[in-house]
Amino acid sequence: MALSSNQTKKHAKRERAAPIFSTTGPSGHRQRMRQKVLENGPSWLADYEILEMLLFAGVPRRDTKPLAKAALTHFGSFSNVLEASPELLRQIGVPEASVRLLGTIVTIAQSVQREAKPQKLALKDWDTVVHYVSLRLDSVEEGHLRVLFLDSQNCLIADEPVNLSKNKDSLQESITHIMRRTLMHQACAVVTIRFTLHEESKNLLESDKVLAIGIAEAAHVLAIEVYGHLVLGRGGWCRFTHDDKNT
Amino acid sequence: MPIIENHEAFSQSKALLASVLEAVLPSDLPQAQKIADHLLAETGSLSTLLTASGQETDAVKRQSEIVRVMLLLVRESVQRFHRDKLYKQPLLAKYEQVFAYLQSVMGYEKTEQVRVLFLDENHYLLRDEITGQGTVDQAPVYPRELVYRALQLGASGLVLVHNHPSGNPNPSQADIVMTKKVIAAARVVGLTVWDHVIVGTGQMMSMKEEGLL
Repeated sequence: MALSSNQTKKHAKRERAAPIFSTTGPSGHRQRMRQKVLENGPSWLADYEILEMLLFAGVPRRDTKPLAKAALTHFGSFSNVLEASPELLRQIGVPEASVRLLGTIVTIAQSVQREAKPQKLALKDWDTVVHYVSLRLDSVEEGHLRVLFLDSQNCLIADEPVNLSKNKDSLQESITHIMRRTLMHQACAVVTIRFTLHEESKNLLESDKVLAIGIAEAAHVLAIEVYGHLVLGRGGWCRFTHDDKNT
Repeated sequence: MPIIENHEAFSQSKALLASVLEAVLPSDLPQAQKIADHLLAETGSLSTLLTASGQETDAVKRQSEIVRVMLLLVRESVQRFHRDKLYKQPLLAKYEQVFAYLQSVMGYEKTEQVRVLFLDENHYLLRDEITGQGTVDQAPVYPRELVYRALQLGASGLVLVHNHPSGNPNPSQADIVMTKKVIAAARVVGLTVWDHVIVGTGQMMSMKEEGLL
């Protein structure tokens, strides 16, 4: 069922008569629909409403619902509308910008499997971890603390500094901060790293043991794996776990 | 920052995203291009970005409402496009379509989901449902409830699906054990488990094809 020329004319007339207030008429309607999508997601929309919203792009002011419904009736299903040739879409009155958008969406749908996968860095053992973090050794300050967030296959999700002021509460603050970031990254495991530029700083080692134990206790509650705390200096590195074992 | 290996596919994704954004920023095409470059550099791929559009991630939160809504609509359209095609033919006859659909709905999720494709006696899709929302490395499966739901829907068989947020679709020992339990539960009420598909990022594994059923 194609739109007759009469109907097309009727649309043209309505476009000129569109109200200029932004809170009423089609533009208020568009704003309300967008707001609903932001609040509730798009899954509750009917197929014609998705099309109606996709058509906003090519139809500046006029109500796009009749065209969306006509397209669904004409082509029979949502996927048929998207896959229809540009020529057939134009014939029922779909404007050029919308024809392009629908075509782009189909290309995106079909390229899902061909798309470049972002490669993840696999931190499969301690040597890999040490090699990876050593790259930073020249660019950080004494005492710099970093966290590596890993997924269930020990691939790196994110690598972040912990920048907190040094006061008496900073230990608990650091632990809280690291736990929050782990959840936000949806990571399965963490490794913490202290950079020390001096050969060996005994004080740092002692306070870091307390930190490592604190992190391990907090992580346990959230079922987050803690692989250990690494102290890295120019002279080499050492690692300890929450049970206070040097390795 | 994601490491990009396939630069050709990456620039194609950029062009596609820019084209989508031009639809909502028709009067400022350089801006559409700029946002596209920025969003892809931050997320690494179009699929990651579209998945992120449904979550309150930093990259997406910074965008204007009109851009966010458009990303949500594109994601939803891509999923409906594939789901729509899934209903049109016997599901088991065209597995590429099943893979394309599953990739679009759960290939890039950050937590595990269990999804069941319920089939009728002619292997047509009756219903597609998420039956379990899990966490970063596991998701709940209750064989009794899956089988109950299949009976409720009048299904004669099902395809079990879940995703691995790590991206690697190889089954764990727990996956294999769980599959056996579901198959056993289905068998005692006369239902068939046609497959258990594990969805990774850009790749998928069919336990049937691997001979693990």
